[in-house]
Amino acid sequence: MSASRQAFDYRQSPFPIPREKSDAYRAAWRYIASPGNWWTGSERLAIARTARAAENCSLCDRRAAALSPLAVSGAHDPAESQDLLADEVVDTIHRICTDSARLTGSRVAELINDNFSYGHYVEMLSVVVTVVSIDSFHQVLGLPVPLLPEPLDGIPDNYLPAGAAIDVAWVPMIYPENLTETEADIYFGAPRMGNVIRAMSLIPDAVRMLHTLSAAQYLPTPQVMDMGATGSLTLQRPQTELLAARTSALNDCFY
Amino acid sequence: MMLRGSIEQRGEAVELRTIIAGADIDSGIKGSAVLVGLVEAALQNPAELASARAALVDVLGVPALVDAAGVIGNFQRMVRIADATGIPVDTATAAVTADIREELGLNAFVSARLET
Repeated sequence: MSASRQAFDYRQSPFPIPREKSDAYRAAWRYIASPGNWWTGSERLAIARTARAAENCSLCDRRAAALSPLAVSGAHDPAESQDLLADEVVDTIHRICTDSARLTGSRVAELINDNFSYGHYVEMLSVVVTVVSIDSFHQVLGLPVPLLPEPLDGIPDNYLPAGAAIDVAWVPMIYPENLTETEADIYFGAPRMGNVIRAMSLIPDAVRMLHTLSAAQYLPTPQVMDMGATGSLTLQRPQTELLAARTSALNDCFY
Repeated sequence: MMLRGSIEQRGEAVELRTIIAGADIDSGIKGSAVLVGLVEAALQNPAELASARAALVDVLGVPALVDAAGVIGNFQRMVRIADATGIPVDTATAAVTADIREELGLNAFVSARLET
């Protein structure tokens, strides 16, 4: 917890950082440090450190320049406590961070076995993208990336939402009508929900964290389809969407 | 597409080719060049980030820079979720953006998927 407070103390920052951002980032660090449905806090920190190591990984650089990422073999730059994770999990984390557009459904399906469920995969993805998102904010502003938190004790509860099923994506997702009481809040009662939110619904806390970060960095999820909404931002909505669209395009992302 | 929708809501026009072509084409949105310049520096040329920040602050101010950093961070997250889960574009979105997707060549992106 003390690491989280130190990490998001912006008193020395050359730019004033709004309270809603620092509060959301502290919540995100508590989320990463806590045991989830499928990973312990220590394992989640190993995932976070591996995501951070991908940033400057020489193998990832060579793969990014190759016609196919599979054409280049080798070892990824190591991260502290990476040995808590299987090699194929480490490789997938690096690919999510540095070459996500070329991930395939067959690659994801190959990962799934008796010891690595879709729940493991979606929760791992949630930790990875939380770190990428917050690190990116700091890097754009020229601020040091925040110190990662210490893991919290606890055991994963292996919760699996009853309404989750494979439909249009590579991972099981939940339609609003199939939510049960435990995760009834995650779509704010909306009768329809975009695929990019449903994508994380196998891990209800991942959706909740998505909403927390979205509200601090972009818009509260219920306001996204209101084209005049700006949330807490000083930017005009078209300015926000121009940033979003160019970021997606440079990532070669269709969404 | 949220960019077109947000512009139409204001009764204005936007040059969507900026999304693909980058800062060389002015989108017509206030601060277009410095906003796109910040994204391009962040994702393609970090050595240019300091000057991109300064340019954005000159045109739009410090709060806009901090907001822009957050938006970039947000979409660095969302694109990876989309890519890593194999979600297709939502059916309703695909229907209303068919023309733009064709015009801008978005369907050629390696991650492009339409719901069937």
